[in-house]
Amino acid sequence: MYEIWLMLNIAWEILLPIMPVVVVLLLVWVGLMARATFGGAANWAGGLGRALLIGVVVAVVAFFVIPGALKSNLSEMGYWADWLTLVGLSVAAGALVAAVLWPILAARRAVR
Amino acid sequence: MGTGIWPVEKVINRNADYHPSGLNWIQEMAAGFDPQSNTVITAGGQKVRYDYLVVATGTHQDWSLIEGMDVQAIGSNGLASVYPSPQAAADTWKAMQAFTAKGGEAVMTLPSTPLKCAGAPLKLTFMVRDRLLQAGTLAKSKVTFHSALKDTVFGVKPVNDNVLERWVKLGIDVAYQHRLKAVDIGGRKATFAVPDAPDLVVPYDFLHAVPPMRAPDAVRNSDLAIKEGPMAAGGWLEVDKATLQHKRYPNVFGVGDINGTPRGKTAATIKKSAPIVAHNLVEVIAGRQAAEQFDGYTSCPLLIREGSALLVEFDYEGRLVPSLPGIEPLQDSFLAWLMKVRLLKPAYLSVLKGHA
Repeated sequence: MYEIWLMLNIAWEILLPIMPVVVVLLLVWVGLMARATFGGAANWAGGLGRALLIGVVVAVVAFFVIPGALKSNLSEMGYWADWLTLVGLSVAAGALVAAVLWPILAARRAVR
Repeated sequence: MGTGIWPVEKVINRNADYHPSGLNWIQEMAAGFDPQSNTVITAGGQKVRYDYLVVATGTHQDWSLIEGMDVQAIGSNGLASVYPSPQAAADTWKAMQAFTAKGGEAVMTLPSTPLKCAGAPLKLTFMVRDRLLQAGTLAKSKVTFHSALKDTVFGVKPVNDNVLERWVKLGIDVAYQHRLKAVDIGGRKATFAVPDAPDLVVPYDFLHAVPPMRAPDAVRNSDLAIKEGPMAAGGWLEVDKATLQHKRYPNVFGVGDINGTPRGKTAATIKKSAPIVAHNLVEVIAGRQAAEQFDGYTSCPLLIREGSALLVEFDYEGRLVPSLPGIEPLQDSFLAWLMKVRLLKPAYLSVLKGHA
């Protein structure tokens, strides 16, 4: 339990210096969700498919980019915990992009 | 910072930004303790009475025991030390860069006293070797580690043995019972005291000097210091290693490097022990016993090259105690590297603020 609480605090401290940017991005996303929800017939299912596809591409790219960005490299993945960490970070990056794109793509597919 | 991974700005914060509200901050160092009259004497001569005292003075770096040493000269003539200050650590990186560009003899040292972050001399040794490799000058260089200890470089046997095994493979030589006693900065010569032998003078192109450490005079010269036993020479705070309560003055507690405990002069020790001290102090204030116990948890994310580290965690008994299930402490690891370079500072700040 303590480790989970500590990780949440670590995430908070990492976000704190960039909190204004995070808040703006969150408001933008809420706005996009609202526009897609209330601005006409959004195609959520159709939008989700493309968002997930883009998310997968981002995750794959992130898998190769993240180690270098952290001053490490793929050859330093020593054992399962390292691979799990890298895959987790990559999936998180892809999921974040997919979540941001989903309302945009859902609204666009409805317009069509 | 000493090996170029963090900039100096990353480790500097303002005390005032982390004070809880209602704090009376006396901006003077503690110069003396009189526990019999529950008084702290400040450097400015103020006598501050207390009901309860938490001592957190940290260590004193005894540079006077290394003749010729000048901390202001760190960063030039191959002289390095990460210990005196953040700027010294940044200057150590400058000295390392100048050294690795040309190569040569790197002399790394370790005193025989307890010291804060006992892993740092080892990390510097691993990293200077890695930086030589990156610079392409390893082939014309030699890295030697001079330990003042009898036959070890680290106080936890499995870690010690693992490090020594790695150093054999990396071509890093180790010499034991070599106590750094003098430095000729301009001449780039380090003098080591060797038992039953004449002093050994070692020329260097890069020297990482680590000062012997002890308690600051304020504690050492007070009745709070350990009086007998192996830790008495350092004048460390005489606390019970489990409750961190002073053994003779129950209204006094210690946190951090000042404690005369078998291990744990690291940030990770503070992270785990500070909440325990806070809890025990509150219990004592409420008229109860200090019952919560500290197991001596210490962590040393040991950088072994850029991009990889070992996540070593251990307790008072020298047992490896990984926090996360399945973690292999002696495995080269990207996760350990990630934790060290990205997650430790946020973890430290959240504990500093009392959140975790």
